[in-house]
Amino acid sequence: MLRLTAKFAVIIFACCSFYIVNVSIALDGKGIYLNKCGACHKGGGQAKAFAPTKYASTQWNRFFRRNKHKRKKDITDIFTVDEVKAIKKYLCDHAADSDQPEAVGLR
Amino acid sequence: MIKLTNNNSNCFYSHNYFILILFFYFLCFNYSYALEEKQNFEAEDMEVIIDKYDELSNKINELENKLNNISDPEEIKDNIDYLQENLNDQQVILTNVERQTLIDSINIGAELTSRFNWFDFKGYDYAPFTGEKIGNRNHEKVNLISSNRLKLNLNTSYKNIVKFTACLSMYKNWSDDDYPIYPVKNFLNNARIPSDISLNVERAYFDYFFEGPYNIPMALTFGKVPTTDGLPADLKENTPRKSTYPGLAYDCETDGIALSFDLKKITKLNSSAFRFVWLRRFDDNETYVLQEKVSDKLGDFRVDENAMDVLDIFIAQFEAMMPAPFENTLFILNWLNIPVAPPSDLRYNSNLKVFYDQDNPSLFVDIPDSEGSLNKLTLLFESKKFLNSFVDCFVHLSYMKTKAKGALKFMFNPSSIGLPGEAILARYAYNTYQNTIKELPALENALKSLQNAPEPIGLLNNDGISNRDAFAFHLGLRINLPFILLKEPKFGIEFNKASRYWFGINNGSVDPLHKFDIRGKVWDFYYIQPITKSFILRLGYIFADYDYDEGLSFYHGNPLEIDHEVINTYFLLNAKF
Repeated sequence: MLRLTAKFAVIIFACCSFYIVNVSIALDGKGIYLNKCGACHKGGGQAKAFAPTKYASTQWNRFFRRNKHKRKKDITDIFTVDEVKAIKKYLCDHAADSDQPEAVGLR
Repeated sequence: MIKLTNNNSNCFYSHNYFILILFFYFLCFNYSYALEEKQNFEAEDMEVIIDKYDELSNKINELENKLNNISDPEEIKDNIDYLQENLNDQQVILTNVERQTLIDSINIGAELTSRFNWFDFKGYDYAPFTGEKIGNRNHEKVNLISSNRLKLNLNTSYKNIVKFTACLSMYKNWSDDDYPIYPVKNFLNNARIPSDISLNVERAYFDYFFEGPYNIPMALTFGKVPTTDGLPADLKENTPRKSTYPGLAYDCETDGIALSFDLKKITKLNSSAFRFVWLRRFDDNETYVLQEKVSDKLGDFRVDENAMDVLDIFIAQFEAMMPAPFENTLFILNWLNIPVAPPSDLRYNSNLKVFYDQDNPSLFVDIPDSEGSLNKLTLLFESKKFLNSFVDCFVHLSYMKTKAKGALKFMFNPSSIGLPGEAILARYAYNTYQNTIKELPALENALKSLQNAPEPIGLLNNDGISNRDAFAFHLGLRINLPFILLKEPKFGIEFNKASRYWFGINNGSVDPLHKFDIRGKVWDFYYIQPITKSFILRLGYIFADYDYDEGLSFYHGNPLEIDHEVINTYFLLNAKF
């Protein structure tokens, strides 16, 4: 059983290791949203606070595709391209039409 | 007239002439300069002026053309009217669409999972209720059992005051034309085990949010509450949290009422809450088995003495997100209490039906009011992106204690057939009276057959008096491989172990092995490969080593030692919208 377990682990590790070199690493979208977006978008901040559920994922996609943030403030110098991608993924993953947590009494 | 004198006149005359010469010179100079300028202005600026003239002419022509082409003001007015009319039509359409959207207020999502299982079983068969091995050690393989599971998720809310959530599901093995019945399919897992193509209600509950005493946000929940897919199943299933409880505490379908208190203002911890839940199971007297009614009573208002009594379960739970630096860690402390564990109704069992037959005075069932009481304390720490790394991990511990009060006993009444003595357990009837009935072969055979009657069925015991302690723990981690090219796949490892008298209450798990019910050890490996945001593949390997069996079922009966090993290798496709 242990041998099989080790084989399984080695296969998975090998598959992943093959792609480690020269493969771009995903950034932490949630962390960037909380820290960098949150620098302005917070209660009492420069901009209104918002949650990912403000829009459905289609609306978030359109927002980024048309760079609608530029209307209020051009932030192209503040975020790298990868950071923007990571934020967009995080917002779409937690958008209004995404799967929501469930428990009794959970809002 | 300038008068000239002789002496000074010569000087004076020369001086004047000089001035005149200068004047004329100046005049000529300016004149000539002016002449020159006049000549240059004309030469260059004429060209400019001509060019400008041409340009202006062109512009005038253009404007004249435009003026000639401008529509009639009446036409403009008509166009405006036309646009206004269109705008009004769009307004009406938009109002209708908005109204319909508000009326059709329930959101519907769908999820489909196709799963392909391979099973490898090694172990012995055992004689019922004895723990005695039958035959040789078996090695059986079941290949490619395929199943489909459809979930329709419904939800709606009104102003964050009320929220309705439901899930209807169909779970079926491919082209399987039969389906399980009681007790395999029961109140704990109706929608959670492969059955037919019926849509079953897996959950349907209503949350009402309000402010309680001291302005504490509270919620009242009722219906078929979300108690399946216990945490940390969200890691393996790659979903948000889908259950109120940790999986080791409780993972079954249930109907009940819950009261929740949002304690963030008091504890200052994010997502801190206290939840109190009351679950109840009521067995009416309409039980049918293979289309045969097992009760002779009609209506819920009649008492059926042999039906399982009401089962009440009370659960209190405190949960919160930990403070920094563990702000991504959820902490849950769950206490489950069954104050009265009613004995089971075994009339569905064809071998035991005879004990419930009122017309047979020699056999009867001694039914206690309660098998005892049970308490279970469960602790869960689940961390997503532990310390901002790519690792999700959890520690899951549970301790259980029972207090015995009685047991269901299958009895033989010797006096009914003229034998001496008090009523005894039917399984001992032959040994007790074999000398007495040596010369009555018919009676001897009948008493011999009673040797297969079950031993007393108590709360995880076979005597109705033994209290039990048990524990279980569950550890694991999931590595979120941060490779964009591979769409960030995930690899998970889990291990759980439970002691002999462990009662998992995990009948509602969709895992075919119900690993949290296993009294033994389980290793669980999985690999999740996202294809798109809505579509994932999962490859898994589960190895289960059973040390003890499940007793009769649920909390009934004494677990016996067994030697079973099961390997479940599976592949599943999951899509959700």
